[in-house]
Amino acid sequence: MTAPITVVIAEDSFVVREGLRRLLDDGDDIDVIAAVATAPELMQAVARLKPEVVVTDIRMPPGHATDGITAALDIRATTGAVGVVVLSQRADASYAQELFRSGTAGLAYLLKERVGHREELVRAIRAVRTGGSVIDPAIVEVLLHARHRTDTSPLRHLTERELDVLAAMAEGLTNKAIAQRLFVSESAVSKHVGTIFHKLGLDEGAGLDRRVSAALTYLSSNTAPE
Amino acid sequence: MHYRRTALRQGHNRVVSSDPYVLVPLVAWLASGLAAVALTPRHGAARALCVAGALIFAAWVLEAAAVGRIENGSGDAWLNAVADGVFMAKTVAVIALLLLMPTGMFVRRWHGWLVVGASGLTVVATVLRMLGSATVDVGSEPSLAVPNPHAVTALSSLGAVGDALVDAEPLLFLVGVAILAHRWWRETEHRAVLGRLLLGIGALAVLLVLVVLGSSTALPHLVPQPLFLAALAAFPLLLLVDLSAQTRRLQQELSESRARIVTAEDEARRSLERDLHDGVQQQLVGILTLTELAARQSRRDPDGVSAVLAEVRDEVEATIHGLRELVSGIRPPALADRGLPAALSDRFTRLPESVHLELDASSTHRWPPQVEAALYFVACEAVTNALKHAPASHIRVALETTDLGPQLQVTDNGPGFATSHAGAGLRGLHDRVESLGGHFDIDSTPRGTVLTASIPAEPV
Repeated sequence: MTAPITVVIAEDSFVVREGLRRLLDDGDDIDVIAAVATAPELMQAVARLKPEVVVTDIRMPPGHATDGITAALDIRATTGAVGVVVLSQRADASYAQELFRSGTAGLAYLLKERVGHREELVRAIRAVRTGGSVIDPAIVEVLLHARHRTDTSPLRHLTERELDVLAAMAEGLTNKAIAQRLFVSESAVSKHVGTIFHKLGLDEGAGLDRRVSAALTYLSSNTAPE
Repeated sequence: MHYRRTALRQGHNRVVSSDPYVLVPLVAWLASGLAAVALTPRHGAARALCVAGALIFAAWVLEAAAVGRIENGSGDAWLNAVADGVFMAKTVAVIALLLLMPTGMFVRRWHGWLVVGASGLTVVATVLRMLGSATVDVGSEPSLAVPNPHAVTALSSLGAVGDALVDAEPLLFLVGVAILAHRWWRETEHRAVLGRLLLGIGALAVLLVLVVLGSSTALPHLVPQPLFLAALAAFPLLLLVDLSAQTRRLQQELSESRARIVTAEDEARRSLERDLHDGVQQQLVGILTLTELAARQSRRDPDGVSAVLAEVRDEVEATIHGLRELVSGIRPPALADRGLPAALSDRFTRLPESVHLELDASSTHRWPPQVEAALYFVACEAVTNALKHAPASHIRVALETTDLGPQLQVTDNGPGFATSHAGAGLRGLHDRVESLGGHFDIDSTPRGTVLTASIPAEPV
């Protein structure tokens, strides 16, 4: 059996912090080694305890603004090995774009309600630990929607089915998982993926992260939401 | 008796006929009144200035005509009576003007009643002089008197009362000046304007005394008459300048108040967003973690689940409670469902026991929602303020229905506070009440504070 993933939680709300700590600790795959309430405390805990993954809120003291995102970017910049899962109360795309502004590796952006499904949270924790990326399906939808409605968007050339596949890719799903979700064959999915990359003028990468990166980079690059 | 006709006659040859300068103040009053109304047609003081200007002009013309007819031996009772009435009415108009400066509204209700009463007195005095005087005369020269064809013998004893009332006109004017002085003392916010008026009146009085002394005694002519007339003409111009300054100030205040309302609304939205985000939404997320925990435990340790579920129940209860508090702060449901008195009574059941709160809200009228909401928050803020600034032991919240609409009055016996330092809360409510066309006033003394808010509205 593999060792549990060490996690530090940063969340200023006591109810949420304690709930998260107990939920993540409820299983031998995760070991919560600290739960803090502010961004400076988080930075200290990361420096001292060297966790593998950080799960953090966005709005926290001292700034009560986007302190969590700033901390996440700081952590990625200083300790390249620590993965960060950012939990957000908001389904606005701008926060995700801010988080993924200079790269997606080791970062996840999830809506807070995902804490109701421990396995989703753990999936994101595992993904960021290995340098992967996860973006919440709801955010992907918002991003896609914003892109899709723009007349100049290259996404207008995609069919509805291809948009579904792209959205699933942006969430970090494999071809197999996409096939299962959309009730189509895996070969059909890989054909769609090829068409999407072709239509968007992107090279098809090999790894999961490359796919998410490609989709996210594309989604957040032409930021011109109406 | 009949001092003014005597005085007018004495001055007749000099002032009225031979001195064209007398037209200068008359025209100045008339023109200032017209200019004021053109500038701010809806301003009470501007209207009063216009009426006063017209009446002063008319009084002079009618008086000259009436006296002229009497001097020719053909005194006319009707002309005499109308001249009397207009003579008194112009004084009433000037008093109204002094009471209406600079806001255009009576600051005390009895100021309005005083003007109404003085107007009534004018009519009574005119009628009594018309019907009670046996002769039409100028008083000083009985030889010119002609019989009054309208005299009613039964009223002859009352004619003297009418004479006295008309002759009491300077007294009426002095009452107006006295109230002006009282207002200058009490109304700190208008002290500059009211002070200028008092100075103007004082200067005119001094000049008048010097002119009279100079012309009727052996004293040298200290002040030439044209100077007095020029000062008399300058007075309405002073009023006009003050009125236009007041109008500009009001416009500026209006735009500032609008900006404050927008800022306050923005701040309220932000605070609501924070309350929802950091309160209810976080609590729900917390509950979500607990339900997921319970779901996992149910597979593994069914007995442990009930403890987690109890936590879930507690958290849900806390969330509902928090949401209820939040909603009450935004707009209490009782206000929409059961009206202002019920909402206020609900709100004030949670006051400290040491505070004796008297809620006098017999009115069962319902008002437009924005009016009820404004008064509700004024009452809440006023009571909070009374508790904050001072441990007032007695607070009275009275809700009355006046002819114009609902009026709220919150009275406390605390040690008061400087109204210029009223908190942002009260200023915001001031703006809110005035944006509904209402009136908001705080009168704070060391013995207590009275906050009055009234909003014109029709019951719904």
